[in-house]
Formats: sequence, structure tokens, C-alpha cells
Amino acid sequence: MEAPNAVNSAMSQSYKHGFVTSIPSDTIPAGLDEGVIRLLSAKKREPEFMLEWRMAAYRHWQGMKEPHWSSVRYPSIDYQNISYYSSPFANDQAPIALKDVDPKLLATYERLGIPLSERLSLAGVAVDAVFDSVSVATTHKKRLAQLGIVFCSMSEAVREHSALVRRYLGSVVPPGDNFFAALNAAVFSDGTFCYIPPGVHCPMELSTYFRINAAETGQFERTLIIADQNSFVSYLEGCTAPQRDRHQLHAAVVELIAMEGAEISYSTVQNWYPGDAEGRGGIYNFVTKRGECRGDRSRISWTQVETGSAITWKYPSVVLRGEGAFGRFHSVALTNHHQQADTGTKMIHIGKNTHSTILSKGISAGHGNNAYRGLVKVLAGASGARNHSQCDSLLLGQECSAHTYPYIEVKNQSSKVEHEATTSRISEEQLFYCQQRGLSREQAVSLIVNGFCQEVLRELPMEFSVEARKLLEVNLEGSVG
Amino acid sequence: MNTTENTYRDRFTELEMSLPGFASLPLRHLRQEGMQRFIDNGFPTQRLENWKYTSVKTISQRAYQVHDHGCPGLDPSDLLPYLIAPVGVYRLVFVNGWFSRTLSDLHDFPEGVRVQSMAKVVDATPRTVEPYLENHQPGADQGFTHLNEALWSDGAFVLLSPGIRLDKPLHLLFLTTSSEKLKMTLPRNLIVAGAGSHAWMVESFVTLGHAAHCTNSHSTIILHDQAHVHHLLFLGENHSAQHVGTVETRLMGSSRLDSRLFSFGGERTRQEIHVHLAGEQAQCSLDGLFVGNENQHMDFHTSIHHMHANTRSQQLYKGILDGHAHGVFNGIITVLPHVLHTQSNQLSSNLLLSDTAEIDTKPQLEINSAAVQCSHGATVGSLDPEALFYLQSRGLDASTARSLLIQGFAAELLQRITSIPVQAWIERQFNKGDNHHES
Repeated sequence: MEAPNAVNSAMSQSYKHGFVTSIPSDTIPAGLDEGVIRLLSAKKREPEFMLEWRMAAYRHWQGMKEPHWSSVRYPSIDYQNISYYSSPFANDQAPIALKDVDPKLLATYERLGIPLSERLSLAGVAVDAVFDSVSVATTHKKRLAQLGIVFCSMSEAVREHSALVRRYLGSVVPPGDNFFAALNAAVFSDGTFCYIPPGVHCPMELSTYFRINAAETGQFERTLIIADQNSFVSYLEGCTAPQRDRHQLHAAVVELIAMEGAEISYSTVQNWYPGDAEGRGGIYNFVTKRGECRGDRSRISWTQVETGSAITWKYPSVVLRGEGAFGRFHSVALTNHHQQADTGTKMIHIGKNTHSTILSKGISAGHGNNAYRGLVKVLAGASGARNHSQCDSLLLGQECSAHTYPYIEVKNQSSKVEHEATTSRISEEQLFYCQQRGLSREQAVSLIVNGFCQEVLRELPMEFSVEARKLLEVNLEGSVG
Repeated sequence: MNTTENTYRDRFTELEMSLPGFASLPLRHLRQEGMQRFIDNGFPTQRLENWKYTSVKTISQRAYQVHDHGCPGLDPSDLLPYLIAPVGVYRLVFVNGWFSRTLSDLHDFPEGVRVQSMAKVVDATPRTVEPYLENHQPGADQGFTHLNEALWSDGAFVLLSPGIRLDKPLHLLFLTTSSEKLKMTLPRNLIVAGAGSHAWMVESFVTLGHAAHCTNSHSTIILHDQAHVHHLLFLGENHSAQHVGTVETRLMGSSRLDSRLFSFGGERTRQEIHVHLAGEQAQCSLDGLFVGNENQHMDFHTSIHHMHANTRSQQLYKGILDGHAHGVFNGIITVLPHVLHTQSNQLSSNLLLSDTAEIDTKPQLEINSAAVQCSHGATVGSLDPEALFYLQSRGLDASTARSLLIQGFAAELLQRITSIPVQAWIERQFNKGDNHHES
């Protein structure tokens, strides 16, 4: 079985977000110790409690070992060789208004397709743009504030809304949760904070756009979203990084809290630089994402399209604590060339009549290595719990692999748990049929892959759905075998 | 290294010269290697991923006696409750791990079939078995296998010449007579099916008495081209027994293995079945039915390795758990790189009958080749209240309705057994345990 020559020649994948913005930046020298954390906290003018919180996490982290149980393989990371803070604002002074933002930065985001000027921006989307370690600008803040919605960068929230931050930060992902979460708690630089007051239906999509620009830095952002009683919010996250031949670490933490009757819908289109065709460079995306359905009838859904990163290692989870709570995880993960992904979810059923669904679509091409790892846990008190999981894998090359590791732990007899998974490749018959109808081989593969992912992609908001489809197409270029 | 492991080593040093196969240098080495690996790795702990759900403290922290020769005078009539059928079955009986000639029935084997005590074979003609006894699954989590390698006492050696069809099922009966003294028996079996041979085999583990004991068994099954073996494993020891077992199989070109597992007994059971599909068009089916009640803990690990093109496998494991029982199923299917056109499917279905029972199931796929078709599934649920209501509205009382539905759940596996006497026997065993399905 050999790939046709035309296909081989098309093997070069284009990463159109790979440019670098040359901008003076304020970067702390590489290395990590208590002094760095103090400096970082001081630069951000944080209240005392935050520094203590970071210190406790740092001390805890020092006693932890880097985990190696996943199926991803990478050379060991030197944590002393990473810069933990890089800001495009020289004098620690973040701009107050959009007009004060360096035009070069605005141009960067424009080039990435995310215009920050409110006049130009997508009408229904409010964006918080994070550049390396800090938040550059947050759009539509005024309109949101009228409804009582707090949507700002994490640094601002720590200063302006410290009571809320103090109450909720770390309550879903405790600082000592795991190695990368502890590291994040110690050194997180910025991120997005969002609070929706009771009964408010957020009128627009909230969104964060993460951009890693500086070399040799790590990005450690922290996102916290709280949806108070009977509120609703839909949140989007996008990410890109320049093309470099060194690996960069991205270890974020996302915490979602849904109170009684509230709903949070969190979508990610992850397009970090994946490394080149030989596996040089690319982002290590080691992220802890967890949501907690605290109140009765609350709902949290994760939708993710993972096309980038050299290594993706994350399990967006939902803790279903409230009665009748609902959790959902929809995922498309594509690995091409030498990309690796070990991703999945955890659904922890604690409350009565809690429901969850999992739909995971993995696509492996080239030397890609794609693993689904998921846990569905039904505790003894979760009467009437219900879960359905489906994990499908599609293999597109001779050297790629697809692994499925579902864990199902049930301690309640009235619960119903189902899991199904398939692994297969695109059959010659399917390709032949499409080609015979006049499509090229590449178009045929793209069509079939799109169909394979359809159920997940249609969960995304429209603009993202279109982008995700394009991303899949670009990333699959030249992988037809 | 902790003291329990050292006790076994001391016992090994003491016994070594009297163990079967000591005269053969390679076999002696295998035992020594096994002991060394056991000392290096120790008993598995829950920190190992493959032992996550099962604690073996009831084995590692108790002082078991290995190789207790005190064999009580058993009468053939004592065996009656454990037999498949009084006649029409070949039978090898092992009492406390040692072959018993008087209790066995080895008459009229067709020519070309060799069935013997393993201890005899390794002492008389070690060359026959040496190449087969090597361990294929080394690893930190294989402590029990290593212990068996070092200290095994006896077992069955079955060799089918090419083209032989065994006319009657062969029953390997492992009986432990439990007593005050804690015993550990370590049987080791080797089954080699020549090209084109066909046989039905049953391995059953039972206890006489109610006291605690431990079994650590290991079986190796080799199938040559076009051989077809039915292998049924029956775990029916008493409710204080600790059972650890491994079945290691290797399938050459277009051979076929039908493995059936029925587990009703034991306090703590851990059974592993590893299948290597190493020949073109080899195929296997692995079925299992486990019924747990009270404080029973049952843990089943299967692995199927597709090592050659055009191999096929299928798997169906069902669990029925009541009381405080805890069931574990962990099945992994791997397809090696460049192995094309394999087909495999796997299903784990589980019935929870009480709020204190627990099931942990983990069906896994590790696919490293593109041209495959694999699927797996898992379900956990309870009896359908509507079905129960329907049956009661037709005049059945609640417990009969319940029992009928449970039977229906298990029937698929009970009916798949192709040997008539074996099927009748297994159904009897299943129904015997059925009285605990009242709630």
C-alpha cells in the first residue's frame, strides 16, 4: 500500500498562523524559584492573598513528580529553562482603552482573523485577547457590564473582584490537583474571568483568543467562569502560536462553575503550532479543564476541536454534583505527521438523575498517535444516572495509531451506562464512489472526514464551525494514503 | 523486599531439589529465573495500573503453605458433585496440586493423544516441554506468574498429534481439600494441539470444605495450523478461596480457539487470558460469564494481540453482581503496526442487582495499523422494571420474574457451548447458584 506520488508531494502542511510579531517585550529571565513568583505577583500588583496562594501551590508542586502514565512520549521538560512571564507592555502598564494598544498588536490579531476594534469585530462575540502572558484587550465590556456580567482578564479580576476570585478560584481544580495544575497555580500569568449574575442570559458569545508569541516562554493562563443561578453563557477559546523549531509548554487551567439551573457551553478550537512534518517544534498542550455542575439542573458542555499542538494531553471533565445535572463532551481530535494526542473526558456522577453524553472522534494520519482516555464514574448515591459514550477513530495512514481506553466504574444499580467504540479506516469503496462522482481523492477524503466529524462540528457556534472545518481540511492536506 | 516474598524464596531453596524437572538444567534455570523475578517484582500492588481495582493483600499478607503433600484418602464417590458426567468424559484429577492416578479416568484415549501428569513428563522426557515453558509476559505486574514458574507442582500435559479429533471432552479437575492449614496450590498445564487436531477441554477449580485456601494456576495452550480447541475454564471454589490464574495461548496459522470462562466461586478471583494470534487467519473467541454475590471480588483481564494479517477475534463478557460483589473487566485488543485486515469486536455487559455491588469495566483498543475493523462496547444496567412488571402481570411472582430475566441475560453464553454434556453441566452449575438472586 503506497501513497500516490501526487499525494506525497502535497505532504507539506501549511500553518498560516506561524508568523512572529516583532514587538519589544518585558520578559522575566528563564528559571523558576520563589523570587520569580514574587516578582510576577508584584508586576501584576496582586493582593497579598494571591501571592500566598501561589506560594502554597509552588511548594506543593516542588514535592510532586511529573506524570508519565499517558501514551504520549516527549523528551523531558526543563522547567528552569522556561520564562514564566512575557508581556508586550514595557512598563507593566496594560492599556486602559483600545486606542492605547500598540497598533502592531492590533494588526497581529487582525491577521489572525480576530479584529479587536469593536466596530469591526464580529457583532455577536466579545473577545478577551491574551498575548503571551497578559491580556491585551477585552472588547464589548461596557455592554456586558450593563447586564451585570463581569468579563475581564484574570489579572484585573484579582484586583477588582477579589471577593469573587477568592471564593471560587481553585474550588474546582485545587492547586495541588496534579503536577501541571500545581505549576499553573504557582505561575499563572493571566487568563479570563467571567461571572454571569443570576437569571442573566448572556447576549453574545464570550471568547478568549490565546496567542503565544515570544520564544522560550511558557504560557500558563487560568480561566474561571461562574454562571450563577439560571444564567446562560456560551464561551469560545481559540489558540495559535508562531512556527518555531523548539517545543513550548502551554499548561493552562480552566474552571467552570454552574449554579442551580445555569448552563455553560465551552467550545475550543485549538490550533497551536503542531510542529513540522518531521515532528520538530510545536506546542506541548498540557491542560487541566474541569467544570462543576454545583446546582440542581445545571448543565455544562465541552466542545473541542483539537487540530494543533505537537502533543495534546487534556481531559475536560464534568463533576455532576447537583440533582438532574447534565454534562456533555464533544470532541474532534486530529493528529497528523508526528502529532500526539491523549485526550478524553471524565464524567463524575454524584447527584441523582444526572446525565452525561460523550462523543469523541479521533482522526490519525501520517505518524499521528491518537488516544481517547475517559472515565465515567457513578457513585453509590447517583441513582438514575445515565451515560452514553461513543468514541470513533478513523485511521488514514499506515504508520498512525488509535488507542481507546475507557474506564467505567459504577456503584449504583439504577444507573445505566453504555459505551461503544469503533476503529476503522476509509475504505477503498467509499473513495472510489466519491471519485467516480468526480471528486479528487483529496476532496473525497475531506468530505468523508467532514461527515465523520459532523455531529461534533455542528455543536460549535457558526463562525467557529466554519473555521474548524477549514482547519481540518488544511491539516489533512497531503495525508491521503 | 518485604518478608512474605522472602518466605517463598526460603521455601523455594528448601524444596528446589525435590521439585519436578530438577534434573533438567533448562527447567531448573526457568524456576530460578521465576523466583528471581518474583523477588524483584514482588506481589502486585494496586499502584500498578493492571491491578488498580484488585488488592491481593489476602494473599500477600497471609502465610500460605506451598506443597503440602498431606493428601487425604479420597474416594471416587467424593468427586461426584464436581464431575461433568459420570461417564463419557476423559478425566484427570489433581488433589491439592498433585496428580491423582486413582481418581483419574484415562482409559481408551485414541492413538496419537498423550495425556499425562506434567511432573512425570518433566522428569522423564524434559525435552518435550522445555521449549513451551518460557514465560511470554514478563513484567512488573506478573508476580503471580513468576511465583508459579518457580514453585509449580504438577498439572496436565496434553499433546494432540496432527489430525486427531478427541471424541469426548477432556476434564482437568483441580480439587483442593481445605483445612485449618492455609494452602497454596500451584498447578501448571501445557496443552499442545497439533495441526488439524480438534478437542474439547474443561479446566475446573473446586474446593472440598469451607476453609480458605489459595490457587495460583498457569496454563499454556499452543495451537498449530488449523487446530481447533474449545477451552472452558470453570472457577467454582468455595467463598473463602483466593484464586489467581493465567492462561497463555499462542495460535499459529488458521487455528481457532474458543475460550469460555465461567466464574461463580471464590472470595477473590483474578483470571488473566492472553491470546497471541500469531498465524495468518488465526481466530479466537473469548466468552465469559461471572456471577458474584456477598463479598466476592472478581477481576478478569484479557488481552488479544493481533500479530498477523487476516486474524479475527471476538469477545463477550457478562457480569451479574449482587450483594456487595465487585466485578472488574479489563480487555485489551492490540493490533501491531503493518498488520492488515484484522477484525475484532469486544463487548462487556454487566448487570447490577444491588446498590452495594460495583462494576469497573475497561475495554481497550490499541490500534497501530490502518487496515482494521475494530469495535468495542460496554454496558452497565439493572433489570428493566418494565420487563419485571410485564412478567408479573402475566402471573409470575417477583422472584421468578427476576430469575427469568437473569437467566435470559446469561442464556446467550450458556447456549454457545457446543458440547452437550458440558453445556448441561454448566447450566446446572449456573442454576445452583441461582438461589441467591432473591432480593
